[in-house]
Amino acid sequence: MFAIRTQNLSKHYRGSAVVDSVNLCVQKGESYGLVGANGAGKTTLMKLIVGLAEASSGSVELFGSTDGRQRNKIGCLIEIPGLFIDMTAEQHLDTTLALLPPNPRFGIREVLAMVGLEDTRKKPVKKFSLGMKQRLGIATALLGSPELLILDEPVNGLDPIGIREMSELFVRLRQEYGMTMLISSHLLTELAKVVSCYGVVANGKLLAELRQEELQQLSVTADGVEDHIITLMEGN
Amino acid sequence: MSKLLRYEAKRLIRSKSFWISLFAAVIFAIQSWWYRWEIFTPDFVEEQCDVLGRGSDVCLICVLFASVFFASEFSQGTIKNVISKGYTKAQVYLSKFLLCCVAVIAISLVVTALNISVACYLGLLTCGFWICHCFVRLLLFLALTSLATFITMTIQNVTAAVIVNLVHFYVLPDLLSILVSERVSGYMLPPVSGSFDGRSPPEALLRPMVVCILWIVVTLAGGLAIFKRRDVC
Repeated sequence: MFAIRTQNLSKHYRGSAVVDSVNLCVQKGESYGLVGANGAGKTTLMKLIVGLAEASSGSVELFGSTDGRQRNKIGCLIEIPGLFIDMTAEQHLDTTLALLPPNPRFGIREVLAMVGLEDTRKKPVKKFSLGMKQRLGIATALLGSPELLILDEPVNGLDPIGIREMSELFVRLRQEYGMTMLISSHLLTELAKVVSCYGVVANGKLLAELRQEELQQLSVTADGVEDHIITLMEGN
Repeated sequence: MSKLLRYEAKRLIRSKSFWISLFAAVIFAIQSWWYRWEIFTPDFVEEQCDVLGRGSDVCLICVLFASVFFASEFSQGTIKNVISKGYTKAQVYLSKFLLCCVAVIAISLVVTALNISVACYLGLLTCGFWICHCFVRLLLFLALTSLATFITMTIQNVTAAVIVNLVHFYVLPDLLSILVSERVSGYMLPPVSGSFDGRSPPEALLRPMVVCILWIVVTLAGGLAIFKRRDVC
Protein backbone atom coordinates (compact mmCIF):
# COMPACT_ATOMS: atom_id res chain seq x y z
CA MET A 1 0.00 0.00 0.00
CA PHE A 2 1.18 3.51 -0.81
CA ALA A 3 1.40 6.07 1.97
CA ILE A 4 1.89 8.83 -0.62
CA ARG A 5 1.12 8.71 -4.32
CA THR A 6 1.10 11.82 -6.46
CA GLN A 7 -0.15 11.79 -10.02
CA ASN A 8 1.08 14.45 -12.43
CA LEU A 9 1.33 16.86 -9.52
CA SER A 10 2.20 20.36 -10.69
CA LYS A 11 2.50 23.79 -9.17
CA HIS A 12 2.91 26.92 -11.22
CA TYR A 13 3.84 30.36 -9.97
CA ARG A 14 3.19 33.11 -12.52
CA GLY A 15 3.45 30.73 -15.43
CA SER A 16 6.62 28.90 -14.44
CA ALA A 17 6.45 25.35 -13.10
CA VAL A 18 7.98 24.92 -9.65
CA VAL A 19 6.74 21.35 -9.44
CA ASP A 20 6.26 19.76 -12.82
CA SER A 21 4.15 16.61 -13.32
CA VAL A 22 5.63 14.71 -10.39
CA ASN A 23 4.61 11.07 -9.95
CA LEU A 24 5.97 10.13 -6.55
CA CYS A 25 5.23 6.87 -4.77
CA VAL A 26 6.17 6.21 -1.15
CA GLN A 27 5.31 2.77 0.20
CA LYS A 28 3.83 2.44 3.67
CA GLY A 29 6.64 1.88 6.18
CA GLU A 30 9.29 3.14 3.76
CA SER A 31 11.83 5.90 4.38
CA TYR A 32 12.11 8.07 1.29
CA GLY A 33 14.76 10.73 0.82
CA LEU A 34 14.14 13.74 -1.40
CA VAL A 35 17.35 15.22 -2.72
CA GLY A 36 18.08 18.05 -5.08
CA ALA A 37 19.75 21.42 -5.40
CA ASN A 38 18.41 24.57 -3.70
CA GLY A 39 15.25 25.71 -5.45
CA ALA A 40 14.72 22.35 -7.13
CA GLY A 41 11.15 22.13 -5.82
CA LYS A 42 11.51 19.75 -2.85
CA THR A 43 9.86 22.03 -0.29
CA THR A 44 7.02 22.99 -2.63
CA LEU A 45 6.40 19.31 -3.33
CA MET A 46 6.19 18.66 0.40
CA LYS A 47 3.88 21.66 0.87
CA LEU A 48 1.58 20.27 -1.80
CA ILE A 49 1.48 16.89 -0.05
CA VAL A 50 0.61 18.34 3.38
CA GLY A 51 -1.92 20.81 1.94
CA LEU A 52 -0.05 24.06 2.61
CA ALA A 53 -0.03 24.85 -1.11
CA GLU A 54 -2.79 24.27 -3.63
CA ALA A 55 -1.85 22.19 -6.67
CA SER A 56 -2.21 23.77 -10.09
CA SER A 57 -2.97 20.32 -11.49
CA GLY A 58 -2.65 16.66 -10.57
CA SER A 59 -3.57 14.88 -7.37
CA VAL A 60 -2.20 13.71 -4.04
CA GLU A 61 -3.31 10.36 -2.64
CA LEU A 62 -2.57 9.58 1.00
CA PHE A 63 -3.05 6.02 2.25
CA GLY A 64 -5.09 5.19 -0.83
CA SER A 65 -7.46 8.14 -0.61
CA THR A 66 -7.59 11.66 -1.99
CA ASP A 67 -9.65 12.78 1.02
CA GLY A 68 -7.80 15.64 2.71
CA ARG A 69 -8.78 14.28 6.14
CA GLN A 70 -6.11 11.59 5.69
CA ARG A 71 -3.68 14.37 6.53
CA ASN A 72 -4.50 13.87 10.21
CA LYS A 73 -2.06 10.94 9.98
CA ILE A 74 0.79 13.30 9.06
CA GLY A 75 3.37 14.92 11.28
CA CYS A 76 5.47 17.49 9.48
CA LEU A 77 8.28 19.96 9.77
CA ILE A 78 8.56 22.15 6.70
CA GLU A 79 11.07 25.00 6.45
CA ILE A 80 11.31 26.78 9.83
CA PRO A 81 9.60 25.05 12.77
CA GLY A 82 6.18 26.54 13.63
CA LEU A 83 6.54 27.44 17.31
CA PHE A 84 4.68 29.69 19.74
CA ILE A 85 7.61 31.78 20.87
CA ASP A 86 5.83 33.34 23.86
CA MET A 87 5.02 29.97 25.39
CA THR A 88 7.17 27.38 27.14
CA ALA A 89 8.03 24.21 25.24
CA GLU A 90 5.40 22.31 27.21
CA GLN A 91 2.69 24.93 26.60
CA HIS A 92 3.53 24.99 22.91
CA LEU A 93 3.15 21.22 22.64
CA ASP A 94 0.01 21.22 24.78
CA THR A 95 -1.59 23.84 22.51
CA THR A 96 -0.68 21.85 19.39
CA LEU A 97 -1.88 18.65 21.03
CA ALA A 98 -5.40 20.13 21.14
CA LEU A 99 -5.55 19.57 17.36
CA LEU A 100 -5.06 15.81 17.75
CA PRO A 101 -7.33 13.02 18.97
CA PRO A 102 -7.22 12.48 22.75
CA ASN A 103 -4.82 10.04 24.45
CA PRO A 104 -2.13 9.87 21.76
CA ARG A 105 0.65 7.25 21.92
CA PHE A 106 3.30 9.97 21.90
CA GLY A 107 2.39 12.65 24.42
CA ILE A 108 4.31 15.75 25.47
CA ARG A 109 6.80 14.03 27.78
CA GLU A 110 7.49 11.25 25.28
CA VAL A 111 8.28 13.53 22.35
CA LEU A 112 10.41 15.86 24.47
CA ALA A 113 12.41 12.87 25.68
CA MET A 114 12.80 11.59 22.11
CA VAL A 115 14.41 14.83 20.94
CA GLY A 116 16.44 15.35 24.11
CA LEU A 117 14.53 18.35 25.48
CA GLU A 118 13.00 16.71 28.56
CA ASP A 119 14.85 19.09 30.91
CA THR A 120 13.76 22.24 29.11
CA ARG A 121 10.00 21.78 29.03
CA LYS A 122 9.41 24.81 31.29
CA LYS A 123 11.76 27.04 29.31
CA PRO A 124 10.23 29.73 27.06
CA VAL A 125 10.64 28.90 23.38
CA LYS A 126 12.06 32.38 22.67
CA LYS A 127 15.09 31.49 24.82
CA PHE A 128 15.80 28.36 22.79
CA SER A 129 18.87 28.15 20.56
CA LEU A 130 18.43 27.46 16.83
CA GLY A 131 19.21 23.78 17.35
CA MET A 132 16.78 23.48 20.26
CA LYS A 133 14.04 25.10 18.18
CA GLN A 134 14.72 22.57 15.45
CA ARG A 135 14.47 19.73 17.99
CA LEU A 136 11.21 21.18 19.29
CA GLY A 137 9.94 21.36 15.70
CA ILE A 138 10.69 17.65 15.30
CA ALA A 139 8.95 16.97 18.63
CA THR A 140 5.90 18.87 17.36
CA ALA A 141 5.85 16.72 14.23
CA LEU A 142 6.05 13.56 16.36
CA LEU A 143 3.16 14.53 18.66
CA GLY A 144 0.36 12.00 18.49
CA SER A 145 2.52 9.34 16.80
CA PRO A 146 1.74 10.12 13.16
CA GLU A 147 1.79 7.32 10.58
CA LEU A 148 3.58 9.52 8.08
CA LEU A 149 6.40 11.89 8.93
CA ILE A 150 7.31 14.61 6.43
CA LEU A 151 10.50 16.45 7.33
CA ASP A 152 12.11 19.19 5.29
CA GLU A 153 15.80 19.42 6.16
CA PRO A 154 15.16 18.31 9.76
CA VAL A 155 18.77 18.56 10.95
CA ASN A 156 19.24 22.20 9.95
CA GLY A 157 20.98 24.09 12.74
CA LEU A 158 21.88 20.97 14.72
CA ASP A 159 25.40 20.25 15.93
CA PRO A 160 27.13 17.03 14.77
CA ILE A 161 25.98 15.14 17.88
CA GLY A 162 22.43 16.39 17.35
CA ILE A 163 22.52 15.30 13.69
CA ARG A 164 23.58 11.80 14.71
CA GLU A 165 20.97 11.63 17.48
CA MET A 166 18.18 12.66 15.12
CA SER A 167 19.32 10.17 12.44
CA GLU A 168 19.23 7.42 15.06
CA LEU A 169 15.80 8.59 16.19
CA PHE A 170 14.40 8.43 12.64
CA VAL A 171 15.78 4.92 12.17
CA ARG A 172 14.24 3.85 15.49
CA LEU A 173 10.86 5.37 14.61
CA ARG A 174 10.76 3.39 11.39
CA GLN A 175 11.98 0.14 12.89
CA GLU A 176 9.98 0.20 16.13
CA TYR A 177 6.83 2.02 15.10
CA GLY A 178 6.72 1.38 11.37
CA MET A 179 6.49 5.09 10.54
CA THR A 180 6.63 6.10 6.91
CA MET A 181 9.00 8.98 6.27
CA LEU A 182 9.61 11.50 3.55
CA ILE A 183 12.76 13.44 4.36
CA SER A 184 14.59 16.07 2.35
CA SER A 185 18.18 16.85 3.15
CA HIS A 186 21.40 18.11 1.66
CA LEU A 187 23.44 15.96 4.05
CA LEU A 188 23.46 12.89 1.84
CA THR A 189 25.76 10.82 4.04
CA GLU A 190 23.44 11.26 7.03
CA LEU A 191 20.38 10.70 4.86
CA ALA A 192 21.87 7.41 3.66
CA LYS A 193 21.68 6.09 7.23
CA VAL A 194 17.93 6.69 7.37
CA VAL A 195 16.36 6.22 3.94
CA SER A 196 15.98 3.20 1.72
CA CYS A 197 14.94 5.09 -1.41
CA TYR A 198 15.96 8.40 -2.98
CA GLY A 199 13.99 10.70 -5.21
CA VAL A 200 16.18 13.10 -7.15
CA VAL A 201 14.45 16.41 -7.89
CA ALA A 202 15.68 19.04 -10.35
CA ASN A 203 13.82 21.97 -11.89
CA GLY A 204 10.57 20.75 -10.38
CA LYS A 205 10.79 17.33 -11.98
CA LEU A 206 11.40 13.99 -10.31
CA LEU A 207 14.46 12.93 -12.30
CA ALA A 208 14.99 9.49 -10.85
CA GLU A 209 13.99 7.17 -8.02
CA LEU A 210 16.83 5.10 -6.65
CA ARG A 211 16.03 2.20 -4.38
CA GLN A 212 18.62 0.48 -2.24
CA GLU A 213 18.52 -2.67 -4.40
CA GLU A 214 19.12 -0.70 -7.60
CA LEU A 215 22.08 1.08 -6.02
CA GLN A 216 23.51 -2.30 -5.02
CA GLN A 217 23.03 -3.58 -8.56
CA LEU A 218 24.90 -0.54 -9.85
CA SER A 219 27.63 -1.41 -7.34
CA VAL A 220 27.18 1.94 -5.63
CA THR A 221 28.45 1.67 -2.04
CA ALA A 222 26.92 3.58 0.85
CA ASP A 223 29.75 6.09 0.63
CA GLY A 224 29.31 6.40 -3.11
CA VAL A 225 25.59 7.32 -2.95
CA GLU A 226 26.45 11.00 -2.61
CA ASP A 227 28.67 10.97 -5.70
CA HIS A 228 26.09 9.04 -7.68
CA ILE A 229 23.29 11.48 -6.82
CA ILE A 230 25.47 14.53 -7.53
CA THR A 231 26.35 13.03 -10.91
CA LEU A 232 22.64 12.64 -11.64
CA MET A 233 21.90 16.23 -10.59
CA GLU A 234 24.78 17.62 -12.63
CA GLY A 235 23.68 15.59 -15.62
CA ASN A 236 20.44 17.52 -15.61
CA MET B 1 -14.09 21.64 14.44
CA SER B 2 -14.28 21.22 18.23
CA LYS B 3 -10.56 20.38 18.31
CA LEU B 4 -9.79 23.50 16.31
CA LEU B 5 -11.81 25.63 18.71
CA ARG B 6 -10.06 24.03 21.67
CA TYR B 7 -6.72 24.80 20.03
CA GLU B 8 -7.71 28.43 19.41
CA ALA B 9 -9.00 28.80 22.98
CA LYS B 10 -5.71 27.54 24.42
CA ARG B 11 -3.83 29.87 22.12
CA LEU B 12 -5.98 32.82 23.20
CA ILE B 13 -5.58 32.20 26.91
CA ARG B 14 -1.80 31.86 26.55
CA SER B 15 -1.50 34.83 24.21
CA LYS B 16 0.13 38.00 25.49
CA SER B 17 -1.63 40.09 22.86
CA PHE B 18 -5.08 39.19 24.26
CA TRP B 19 -4.28 40.11 27.85
CA ILE B 20 -2.51 43.31 26.80
CA SER B 21 -5.51 44.25 24.62
CA LEU B 22 -7.89 43.59 27.49
CA PHE B 23 -5.77 45.66 29.87
CA ALA B 24 -5.47 48.48 27.34
CA ALA B 25 -9.24 48.49 26.76
CA VAL B 26 -9.86 48.86 30.51
CA ILE B 27 -7.30 51.67 30.77
CA PHE B 28 -8.91 53.51 27.85
CA ALA B 29 -12.39 53.07 29.32
CA ILE B 30 -11.28 54.42 32.72
CA GLN B 31 -9.40 57.25 31.08
CA SER B 32 -12.36 58.30 28.93
CA TRP B 33 -14.66 58.47 31.95
CA TRP B 34 -12.06 60.12 34.13
CA TYR B 35 -11.25 62.76 31.56
CA ARG B 36 -14.45 64.75 32.03
CA TRP B 37 -15.64 63.44 35.37
CA GLU B 38 -16.65 66.88 36.69
CA ILE B 39 -18.93 67.70 33.77
CA PHE B 40 -20.92 64.48 33.64
CA THR B 41 -24.37 64.95 32.25
CA PRO B 42 -26.78 62.65 30.43
CA ASP B 43 -25.69 64.41 27.23
CA PHE B 44 -22.13 63.41 27.82
CA VAL B 45 -23.14 59.80 28.34
CA GLU B 46 -24.86 59.95 24.97
CA GLU B 47 -21.82 61.43 23.30
CA GLN B 48 -19.55 58.93 24.98
CA CYS B 49 -21.61 56.05 23.72
CA ASP B 50 -21.63 57.34 20.20
CA VAL B 51 -17.89 57.81 20.21
CA LEU B 52 -17.45 54.28 21.54
CA GLY B 53 -19.64 53.04 18.75
CA ARG B 54 -17.64 54.46 15.94
CA GLY B 55 -13.93 55.00 15.89
CA SER B 56 -13.41 54.45 19.59
CA ASP B 57 -10.17 53.41 21.25
CA VAL B 58 -11.67 50.12 22.40
CA CYS B 59 -12.86 49.34 18.90
CA LEU B 60 -9.41 50.14 17.57
CA ILE B 61 -7.88 47.79 20.15
CA CYS B 62 -10.12 44.96 18.90
CA VAL B 63 -9.03 45.59 15.30
CA LEU B 64 -5.34 45.69 16.24
CA PHE B 65 -5.71 42.59 18.39
CA ALA B 66 -7.19 40.66 15.45
CA SER B 67 -4.32 41.83 13.22
CA VAL B 68 -1.54 40.79 15.59
CA PHE B 69 -3.14 37.63 16.93
CA PHE B 70 -3.92 36.07 13.56
CA ALA B 71 -0.95 37.34 11.58
CA SER B 72 1.44 35.99 14.22
CA GLU B 73 0.26 32.46 13.31
CA PHE B 74 1.70 33.07 9.85
CA SER B 75 4.89 34.82 10.98
CA GLN B 76 5.64 32.14 13.60
CA GLY B 77 4.67 29.39 11.16
CA THR B 78 2.26 27.67 13.57
CA ILE B 79 -0.52 27.81 10.95
CA LYS B 80 1.41 25.01 9.20
CA ASN B 81 0.80 22.74 12.20
CA VAL B 82 -2.95 23.33 11.81
CA ILE B 83 -3.36 23.01 8.04
CA SER B 84 -1.18 19.88 7.90
CA LYS B 85 -3.50 18.10 10.34
CA GLY B 86 -6.18 17.61 7.72
CA TYR B 87 -8.49 20.50 8.57
CA THR B 88 -9.96 22.33 5.61
CA LYS B 89 -9.07 25.97 5.16
CA ALA B 90 -12.74 26.86 5.62
CA GLN B 91 -12.72 25.15 9.05
CA VAL B 92 -9.50 26.95 9.98
CA TYR B 93 -10.89 30.34 8.93
CA LEU B 94 -14.21 29.79 10.69
CA SER B 95 -12.53 28.69 13.91
CA LYS B 96 -10.39 31.81 13.86
CA PHE B 97 -13.40 34.02 13.18
CA LEU B 98 -15.34 32.44 16.07
CA LEU B 99 -12.36 32.82 18.36
CA CYS B 100 -12.10 36.45 17.33
CA CYS B 101 -15.75 36.93 18.25
CA VAL B 102 -15.16 35.40 21.68
CA ALA B 103 -12.15 37.65 22.31
CA VAL B 104 -14.02 40.77 21.21
CA ILE B 105 -17.02 39.83 23.35
CA ALA B 106 -14.69 39.35 26.33
CA ILE B 107 -13.03 42.73 25.82
CA SER B 108 -16.37 44.40 25.20
CA LEU B 109 -17.98 42.83 28.27
CA VAL B 110 -15.23 44.04 30.57
CA VAL B 111 -15.49 47.60 29.23
CA THR B 112 -19.29 47.47 29.27
CA ALA B 113 -19.32 46.26 32.87
CA LEU B 114 -17.09 49.17 33.77
CA ASN B 115 -19.20 51.69 31.89
CA ILE B 116 -22.45 50.38 33.34
CA SER B 117 -20.99 50.51 36.86
CA VAL B 118 -20.09 54.16 36.38
CA ALA B 119 -23.48 54.93 34.81
CA CYS B 120 -25.29 53.21 37.70
CA TYR B 121 -23.21 55.12 40.22
CA LEU B 122 -24.13 58.40 38.54
CA GLY B 123 -27.78 57.36 38.10
CA LEU B 124 -27.56 57.68 34.32
CA LEU B 125 -28.40 54.13 33.34
CA THR B 126 -31.24 54.04 30.85
CA CYS B 127 -32.73 51.44 28.55
CA GLY B 128 -30.99 53.06 25.59
CA PHE B 129 -27.65 53.06 27.32
CA TRP B 130 -28.00 49.36 28.09
CA ILE B 131 -28.96 48.39 24.52
CA CYS B 132 -26.29 50.57 23.04
CA HIS B 133 -23.57 49.00 25.12
CA CYS B 134 -24.64 45.40 25.20
CA PHE B 135 -26.00 44.84 21.76
CA VAL B 136 -25.37 47.36 19.03
CA ARG B 137 -21.88 48.28 20.07
CA LEU B 138 -20.95 44.62 20.34
CA LEU B 139 -22.30 43.95 16.86
CA LEU B 140 -20.28 46.87 15.58
CA PHE B 141 -17.12 45.56 17.23
CA LEU B 142 -17.75 42.16 15.67
CA ALA B 143 -18.28 43.69 12.22
CA LEU B 144 -15.03 45.63 12.36
CA THR B 145 -13.01 42.73 13.73
CA SER B 146 -14.52 40.45 11.08
CA LEU B 147 -13.18 42.84 8.47
CA ALA B 148 -9.82 42.93 10.29
CA THR B 149 -9.75 39.10 10.33
CA PHE B 150 -10.50 39.00 6.61
CA ILE B 151 -7.68 41.45 5.85
CA THR B 152 -5.19 39.71 8.15
CA MET B 153 -5.90 36.19 6.87
CA THR B 154 -5.49 37.47 3.33
CA ILE B 155 -2.27 39.44 3.89
CA GLN B 156 -0.65 36.90 6.26
CA ASN B 157 1.91 39.41 7.57
CA VAL B 158 1.86 41.22 10.93
CA THR B 159 3.16 44.66 9.91
CA ALA B 160 1.21 44.84 6.68
CA ALA B 161 -1.99 43.64 8.41
CA VAL B 162 -1.66 46.27 11.17
CA ILE B 163 -1.09 49.07 8.65
CA VAL B 164 -3.92 48.05 6.32
CA ASN B 165 -6.30 47.59 9.25
CA LEU B 166 -5.39 51.03 10.62
CA VAL B 167 -6.08 52.52 7.20
CA HIS B 168 -9.44 50.77 6.91
CA PHE B 169 -10.36 51.76 10.45
CA TYR B 170 -9.78 55.45 9.85
CA VAL B 171 -10.46 55.83 6.15
CA LEU B 172 -12.95 53.24 4.96
CA PRO B 173 -16.16 54.57 6.57
CA ASP B 174 -15.61 58.06 5.16
CA LEU B 175 -14.43 56.73 1.83
CA LEU B 176 -17.54 54.58 1.48
CA SER B 177 -19.71 57.53 2.44
CA ILE B 178 -18.15 59.60 -0.31
CA LEU B 179 -17.97 56.93 -3.00
CA VAL B 180 -21.15 54.96 -2.34
CA SER B 181 -23.49 56.15 0.34
CA GLU B 182 -23.56 56.83 4.03
CA ARG B 183 -26.03 54.00 4.26
CA VAL B 184 -23.20 51.53 3.63
CA SER B 185 -20.86 52.78 6.33
CA GLY B 186 -23.06 54.71 8.74
CA TYR B 187 -23.75 52.55 11.77
CA MET B 188 -26.02 55.26 13.17
CA LEU B 189 -26.02 54.09 16.75
CA PRO B 190 -29.22 55.02 18.55
CA PRO B 191 -28.90 57.70 21.18
CA VAL B 192 -28.62 56.46 24.70
CA SER B 193 -31.59 58.31 26.07
CA GLY B 194 -34.71 56.25 26.55
CA SER B 195 -36.56 58.22 23.89
CA PHE B 196 -34.38 56.95 21.02
CA ASP B 197 -34.51 60.33 19.39
CA GLY B 198 -38.23 60.17 18.80
CA ARG B 199 -38.09 56.72 17.22
CA SER B 200 -39.24 53.47 18.75
CA PRO B 201 -36.42 51.16 19.95
CA PRO B 202 -36.92 48.48 17.24
CA GLU B 203 -36.84 51.11 14.50
CA ALA B 204 -33.76 52.77 15.93
CA LEU B 205 -31.95 49.44 16.29
CA LEU B 206 -32.84 48.02 12.89
CA ARG B 207 -30.39 50.09 10.87
CA PRO B 208 -27.22 49.44 12.90
CA MET B 209 -28.18 45.79 13.17
CA VAL B 210 -28.60 45.38 9.42
CA VAL B 211 -25.41 47.29 8.61
CA CYS B 212 -23.33 45.32 11.11
CA ILE B 213 -24.72 41.93 10.12
CA LEU B 214 -24.15 42.72 6.45
CA TRP B 215 -20.54 43.67 7.16
CA ILE B 216 -20.03 40.39 9.03
CA VAL B 217 -21.62 38.25 6.29
CA VAL B 218 -19.76 39.94 3.43
CA THR B 219 -16.34 39.86 5.12
CA LEU B 220 -16.82 36.27 6.27
CA ALA B 221 -17.82 35.09 2.79
CA GLY B 222 -15.01 37.06 1.14
CA GLY B 223 -12.43 35.85 3.65
CA LEU B 224 -13.46 32.20 3.21
CA ALA B 225 -13.36 32.44 -0.58
CA ILE B 226 -9.90 34.05 -0.68
CA PHE B 227 -8.28 32.00 2.09
CA LYS B 228 -9.39 28.72 0.46
CA ARG B 229 -7.46 29.60 -2.70
CA ARG B 230 -4.33 30.98 -1.02
CA ASP B 231 -1.17 29.05 -0.26
CA VAL B 232 0.08 29.16 3.31
CA CYS B 233 3.70 30.23 3.37
